Amino acid sequence: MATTPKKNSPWWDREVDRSGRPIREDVRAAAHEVWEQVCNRARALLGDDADAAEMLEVSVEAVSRYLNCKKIPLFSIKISGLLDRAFHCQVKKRCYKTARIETVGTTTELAELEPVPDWTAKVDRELDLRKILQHLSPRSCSILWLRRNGHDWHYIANKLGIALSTAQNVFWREIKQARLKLQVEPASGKTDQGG
Amino acid sequence: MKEMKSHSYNELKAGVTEQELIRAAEQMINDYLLGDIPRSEVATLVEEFERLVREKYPNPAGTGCPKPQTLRERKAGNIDHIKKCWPCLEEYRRFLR
Repeated sequence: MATTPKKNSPWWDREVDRSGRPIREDVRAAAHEVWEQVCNRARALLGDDADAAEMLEVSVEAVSRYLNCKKIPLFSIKISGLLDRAFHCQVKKRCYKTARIETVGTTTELAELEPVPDWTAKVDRELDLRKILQHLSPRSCSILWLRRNGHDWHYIANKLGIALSTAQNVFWREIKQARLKLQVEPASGKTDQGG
Repeated sequence: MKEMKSHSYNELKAGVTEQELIRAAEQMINDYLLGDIPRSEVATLVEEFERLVREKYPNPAGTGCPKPQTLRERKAGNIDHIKKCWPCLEEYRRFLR
């Protein structure tokens, strides 16, 4: 039997719970008594009573199980207070759950948060670098290996017998020329602080 | 500091960083040593690399060198050693040909 009190959502007044165990008659009757009261509580704590029916169903099952466990005879005690308490626990649980959930935006915004890395651009960049290296003169290759081994430009200039600025200019000019030859578009300006 | 500024400027103008070039060069040497690319494709880079290894890591005593048959196995461990030992690089180079 479903009940539809005026202005409130219906809740499912079942004879058995989800496990197939019978729900006590006194608890079901008490649920009808407290329905309006629990709806008000849900509205006060959660902002609306959309989930009140579901929470009451869970509370009814829990109270029924508890009373059966305690072997309390049917209609021997007033149950509405117990049911109200069980419902309150359900509402608080729902409150905590809502507080834990942090909304971050729509699916579109989520997609924008972490763009998919463009692996083709990475591969293209790698191929371009290889082509540049293939165009380097022996002197620039030598400079590159010396830099890779951690030598500073002063050491490299001394070793090659040229001025420091010449060493740098020669090396970078070749890189730029190689890029032009390959008609490679310059990177988007993102550079490491090398040196 | 002056050098760093100048360097960054050059990187910006060239549209490529020194670190990127070094990484790519190391990868090319690895590919060559693993036999994935022919020497002709990376001739200048490899020649200068070999010259550097010859000067910096002559290792005349053969310290830490693996046996020749082991050396020919194209393993990362061997490649790491070869890159820091001129006698092994020379031997391995013959094998690559």
